[in-house]
Amino acid sequence: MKIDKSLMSGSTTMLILKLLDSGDMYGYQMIEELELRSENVFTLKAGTLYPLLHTLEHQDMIESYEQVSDGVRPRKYYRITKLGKEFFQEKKTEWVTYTSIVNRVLGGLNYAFIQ
Amino acid sequence: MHSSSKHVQDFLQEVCKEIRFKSIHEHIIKELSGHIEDQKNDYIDQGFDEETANLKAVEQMGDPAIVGKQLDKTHRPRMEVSILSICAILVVLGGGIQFFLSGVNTNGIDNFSHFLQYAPIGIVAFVLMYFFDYTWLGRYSKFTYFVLLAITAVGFLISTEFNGRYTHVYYSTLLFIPAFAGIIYGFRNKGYLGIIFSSLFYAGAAFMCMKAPSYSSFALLTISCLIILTVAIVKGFFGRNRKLSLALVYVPTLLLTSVVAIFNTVILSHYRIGERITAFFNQGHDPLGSGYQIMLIRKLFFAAKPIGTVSLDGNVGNISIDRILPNWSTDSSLIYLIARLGYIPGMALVAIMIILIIRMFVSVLKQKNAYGFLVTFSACLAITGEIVLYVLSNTGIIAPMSLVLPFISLGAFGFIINMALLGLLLSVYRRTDLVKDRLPSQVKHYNHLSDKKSNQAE
Repeated sequence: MKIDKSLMSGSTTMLILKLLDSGDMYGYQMIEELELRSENVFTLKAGTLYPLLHTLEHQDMIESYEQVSDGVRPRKYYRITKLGKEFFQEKKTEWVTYTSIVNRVLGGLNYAFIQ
Repeated sequence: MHSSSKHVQDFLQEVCKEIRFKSIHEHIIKELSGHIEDQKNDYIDQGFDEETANLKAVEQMGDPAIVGKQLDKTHRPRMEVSILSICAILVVLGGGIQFFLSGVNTNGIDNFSHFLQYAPIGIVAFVLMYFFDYTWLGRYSKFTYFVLLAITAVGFLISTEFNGRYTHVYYSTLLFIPAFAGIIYGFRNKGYLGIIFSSLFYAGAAFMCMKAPSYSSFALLTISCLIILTVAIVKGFFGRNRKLSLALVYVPTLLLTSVVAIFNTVILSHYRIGERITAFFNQGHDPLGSGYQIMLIRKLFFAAKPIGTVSLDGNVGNISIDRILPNWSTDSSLIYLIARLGYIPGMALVAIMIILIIRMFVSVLKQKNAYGFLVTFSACLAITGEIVLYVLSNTGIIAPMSLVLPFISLGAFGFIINMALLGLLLSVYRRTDLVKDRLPSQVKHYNHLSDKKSNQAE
């Protein structure tokens, strides 16, 4: 199922922070991981991802470091910071409240599961 | 290089064309080309030939112009507007004070024209430092230090003494402070030996201050270097045993200070520094001798009106203030201003200086990389140290010293060097997000990972 882009744009930051919350990753890995977890619904373009990552780094939500993995070449890994974790929790609560209200209005059946 | 990587290069070039901050290009190219490489390898695994894989990988990246524009928005060089505006206000005020006061005083007619000559040079020094890539200083910190040491030494030969002192040492001290930050950075991760070597570099500069002799330079240098070294130790630049490292710095410092203090007050009490220290502790003991200046400053300070010229009584009652304070345009500008115009204008000037200090420290705290932090901290300390010592000595709290009130008091060298220091501070701020080497405290989380990797590599 393809999802309207405008629905996704607001939550991309949250999704990236969620990914990094589960472990340090480099850019390409994030795109792959997001596709995997969303069953190919979320396909993030590199052109969207990197400006977003760099902005989050400026805001001290995430940090970067270089590390050689698979013995190929150094990759730029990103790691979530304490500030980023707090921000993620905030966003998540906001999101849960929002979606539960939308579901309630729509009378959706999923309401009970979101809690 | 594969012939097909031309697509990649074209793409990266298009992206970078949109990013105005040139210094970031290298990092972005590295990250994006790594991404394309990963994507390409995936396509090859899926059975595409290399050429097609490359093409598809580049296509997957999206429109290079849009990517570039997005990145450009994220990577604007940072400009600390508040520090810049405060500096501009101070320069204009400094010019105004020289203009206003040189017209009033018989001995200061040329002050303003002098200011007009050196102010543009100071602004050029600021701009040059602002666009200068400060990391160069980190790579050549020892070279910078020794050039500075040589210039100071030559200064003793070519400049003339002024009241038995060499004044040029004060200006080189201001530059020794950021140079010392570079030295510390060079000795990071060298443990206790690093601290000892750093201290030796301090000693070289301190020797120059002693040779001048310049009490104010020595105080400024020692306090600044101690603070920089302490912060570096606390931040873990010299390893984990912070307590022992601090002891290594402070035990000799305290011992040396007490020995020098005893030596000066007891044995060499006739010597100039000793005299000043004695005067500092018993200000009333000899009102016409060495304690005279501090008594006068206190008298002017406590007699000052909120707004307007002070009126003194007694034998100095009918002498104009610029006669009483012969160094009014340099060492005593603040107390002169307070006495001439009132303590409200004087304190307003001090308030602007305090705002500058706060803004500078805020910009220091925003620094993420280790060297940027040390450099900006040292420049900030040099300017702050000058202001603090100046205000203290001009309000009669400490003994009068030969000092510069940054951006305000008269003097080409003082003005130009302070402008350069502020330019350096803003140059670091400008590149906040660019330079890589992070502060050690931020590295420790993944130290174990990189340690493992380096072990494997060995």
